[in-house]
This record gives sequence, structure tokens and C-alpha cells, in this order.
Amino acid sequence: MLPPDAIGVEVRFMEAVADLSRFAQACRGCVTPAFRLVLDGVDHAALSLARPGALDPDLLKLDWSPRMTGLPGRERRLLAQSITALGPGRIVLHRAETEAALVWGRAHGIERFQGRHVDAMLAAARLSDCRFAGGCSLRQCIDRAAATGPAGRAGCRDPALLDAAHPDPQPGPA
Amino acid sequence: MTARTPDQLARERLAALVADCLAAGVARQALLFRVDRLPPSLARPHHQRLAEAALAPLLACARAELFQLPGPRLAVVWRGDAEAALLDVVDSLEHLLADTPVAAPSLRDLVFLYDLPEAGDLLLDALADGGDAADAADAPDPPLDPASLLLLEAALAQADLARFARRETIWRLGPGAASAAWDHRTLSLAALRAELMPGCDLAGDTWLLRRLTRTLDRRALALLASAGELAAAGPFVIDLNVSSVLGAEFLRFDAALPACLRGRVVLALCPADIIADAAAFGFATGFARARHYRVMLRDATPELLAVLWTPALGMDYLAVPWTPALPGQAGPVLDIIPAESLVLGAGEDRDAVGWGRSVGIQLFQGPAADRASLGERATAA
Repeated sequence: MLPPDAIGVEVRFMEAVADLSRFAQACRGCVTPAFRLVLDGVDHAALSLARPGALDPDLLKLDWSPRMTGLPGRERRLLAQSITALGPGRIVLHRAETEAALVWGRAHGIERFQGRHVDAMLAAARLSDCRFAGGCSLRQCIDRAAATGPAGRAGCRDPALLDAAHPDPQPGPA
Repeated sequence: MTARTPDQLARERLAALVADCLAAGVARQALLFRVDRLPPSLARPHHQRLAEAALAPLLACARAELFQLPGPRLAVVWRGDAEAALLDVVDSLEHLLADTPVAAPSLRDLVFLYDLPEAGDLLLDALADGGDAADAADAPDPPLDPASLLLLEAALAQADLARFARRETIWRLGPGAASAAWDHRTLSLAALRAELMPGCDLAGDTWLLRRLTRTLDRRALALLASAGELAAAGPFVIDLNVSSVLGAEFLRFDAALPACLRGRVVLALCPADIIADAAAFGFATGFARARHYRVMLRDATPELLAVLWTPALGMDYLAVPWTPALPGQAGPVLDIIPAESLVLGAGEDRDAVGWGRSVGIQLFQGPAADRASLGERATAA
């Protein structure tokens, strides 16, 4: 039996909108506590025009774009309204590759990020704590943490530290 | 081992209950509702809820239990006489079946009653048959795949698309005499499928459908831009993809548009296409307005309008398809969108026209609207 929240099922927002009946049917097949519905493929322009909360996703992946820091007034207002309507707690800022992305996300109440900048920050922290760090570059540490199998981790002498970057595979205590 | 879904678990519980009835000779009654046999027009989420609600009278019976089975199918098992409840169920289901513009299946093909334990084996057979996999006869057409799309595009390159061109009048049924507001010009996907790609669900893959419709847009625009095509044309609505508005064929069409039609052509856009590239949508609609086109949102169901924030879309018109459930769902839509902006796709249902007019809608499309306008014009004459 899978633990709660074990798997996020990502569905493109556009595909959901294209066939709301089929989307609803698909959601009915994912109603166990193990699954979480994640809407992806959402850029700031699409989010400004939409109220994806009506689809009741657990999370929504908002694609970061540097344009988001300099949107004209109406677009900025529409985006802020959509984020508020959905709730920033349900948003993952996706492709957050720069510090500007993190700053923008935090300023909008977003606390979930996915992207190379976060990976690099975590790798830098690992390297500062790792007693074998002398033999590794930042790039190597990032790539090894992203590997899904042992082959991709070859060369790391403290794999437990890499695992710390990932969710606990065991369900937490009740 | 694969985890079983709730509906699979429900099927196992029901099978165990039937087996217990058989083993112990306990009398029960069961009703099986093949929700999976409802046509697509009755497969929206609110229809699923209505289907469950229709069975509610039976749940007041002794030892009643509802099972949500794979398919989806619904079953209720209860004890004792339930004639009155069954009559209520039949009434509700007939009301649900009336909620479709196409011929609905008969209740005899949808609802099955079983006396347990005598008919227990039949119910067990029905539970084992179908649900996870549709019956071969009911299997849906396979969706369009990339290889088939390439073949279809090659066939389209040689085909005379004029024979797939259709037009249907959108009527203004206002306080005055009925009048034609626009012709809705389309290339019939159904006719194209029947001739070039039978047995294939052209809409089965959203991404490939977008590519196909973009190809068709280019051909339709070229057809409209050809010499003389629009010389005698009145105002019209044309279905387009967002990217087609930004293409070279649209510029040629725009250049060929007679001055008398400038400001009287409506571009009807698909919701998924807007979400797929919202930035392009903003650019395309800005360009279209600068060239004096009006913009319409297609397939604007209440469910869709809950997801799209229409005030941000800035649409001139919304094409709303009719269902008998619409009067109960349209309140929030009418709260934020002026009724004069709605185009009601009435289908065959004359109730649609009556309801639409009662809430201030003036623009109607479909055979029921054709009949209403014919009646009004005959009366006026």
C-alpha cells in the first residue's frame, strides 16, 4: 500500500481544459490518498486568465519567467488575483533557475520551488557539511543528487547526505 | 502487486455480498445502472452526480447500500419491497436521459434488476463482464496518432476542402423580428473524418487535434481569401486557432476582406488553445481588435467558465452549448456576463430557445433556433 501523498500525478492544464469530462473521469481514478493531482504547463499568462482552483488541484506548477518581475499593471494585477484565488500554498514555482525567481516567489507567498537554483543552493549546503567535499565539484553534487539510481551516484562518498535532499521514503509516524 | 482502486474494491464487496446471499439463501434485490453506456453528452461530472442522485430513493430502503463500480457503473442492493422508490428512480433517470441533444439509449439497456439469490449468478456475471474493459462493440474509436495525422494531412493536401465547408445561421431573436446575425462557417470535422479517416477519433488527442485544426484553418482562410468567395458574403463567424490569427494566411484573408464586412466578422477561439499559449492569445486578440474583428469563446460551458476567468479574457461573445441542466447552472455565468454577449447553441431543443429568451439571450444557433426564426418570420409575413 502506498503511503499518503506518495505520488503526484501531473496533468497539463491545457489538456484538462480541452476535455473537462475526461479530466473529471481521470480524477475519479486517482482518489486514493496516495495520489495528489498536480496541474502543470501553466505560465503566468495562462494563470492570469484562469481560475484553476475550480479543478481542485492539490498543487499547480507555475512556470517561472523573468518577465514576471516586470509585467505591466493590468497583467500584474490579474496574476496577483489568480494567485490569491488559488492560494500561494498550492503553487510550485517551476523552472526557478535564478535567485530572482525565488525572491519573486517568496514575495508572492510561494514556498515551493523546483529548478536548478534551488538544487545548487542545496548542493552548496551539502558541500559545506560533507567531509569528502574536497573531491567533488558543485556540478557533480547537483547531478548526483538528481540521479534516480546508484549508477548516477557513483563517486559520492556520503550518499546519505544526498538522500537528505529528497522526501523520506517511509510514511511518517501517525 | 497493484493497489486496487476504490471502484474495484466496491466490486469485490458487492460480489462477496451476492455470494453470501447465494450461500445463505438470503433475499435481496439489486439494481445495476450502466452509467458507462450513457452517450458523451451525458458523461459530464454533473450527469454523474445526477445519476447517483437518481438512485437515492432506493437508499432509504432496508439494508440499502450503494456501490460505485468500475466502468463507471452504479449498483444498489436492498431488502424488501421498493416499488414506489423504483418508480421514483425511473422518473429521475428518464429526466436525466432527456438531457441530451442526441438519441438517448433506452432505460432497458441501462438499468437491470436482479432478485437475489435466484438471479445472483446473473449479477455476478454482469459484474465480471465489462467495467475494466469496455465491450468490443462499445469500444471507442482509437484516437488520432502521429502516423495517421501525417496520412490525413497528405490526403488533405490533395483534397478539395470546399466540399467539407458548412455554414449555419446564428439568429438574432430579439424583441423585434427575427434576423440572421451571422453565418457560422466551419469545415466539418465529422464529414472529413467519415471520408478520409473513418473509425478514428480525431479529437482523441488534444495536441494532434490542434495541429490538424491549424492545418484546416490555413486551408479555410485560403478558401475565404480566394477571388469572389466573399463578394456576396454577409457577416460571419469563423472557428480559428490562436496561432492561425497570427499566420500569413490570415493576413491574406484580411487583405481580401471586403470593406463592407470589416467589423462584422467574428473569430471564434477554442478554450484549450487559449490556455496552451495565453501570451499568443493576448497578442492575437489585440491584433484582431486592431483590424476590427470581434472575438468569441467556443464551448463556453458553465464548467469551463468556472475555470476561465472571463473578465480577463475580454471576449465579445461566448458560445454556450445548451443542456437541460443549463438553467440550473447559468446563474453565475449570467451574473458576470451580459446576456447579449451569449450565443446559445440550442441544438434540437425548443426549450433552449424559450429559456434563453427568458433570461435575455438574443443570439441562437441550431435547428431549434432555425425553426423559431422560421415561425417568427412566417408570422411577420
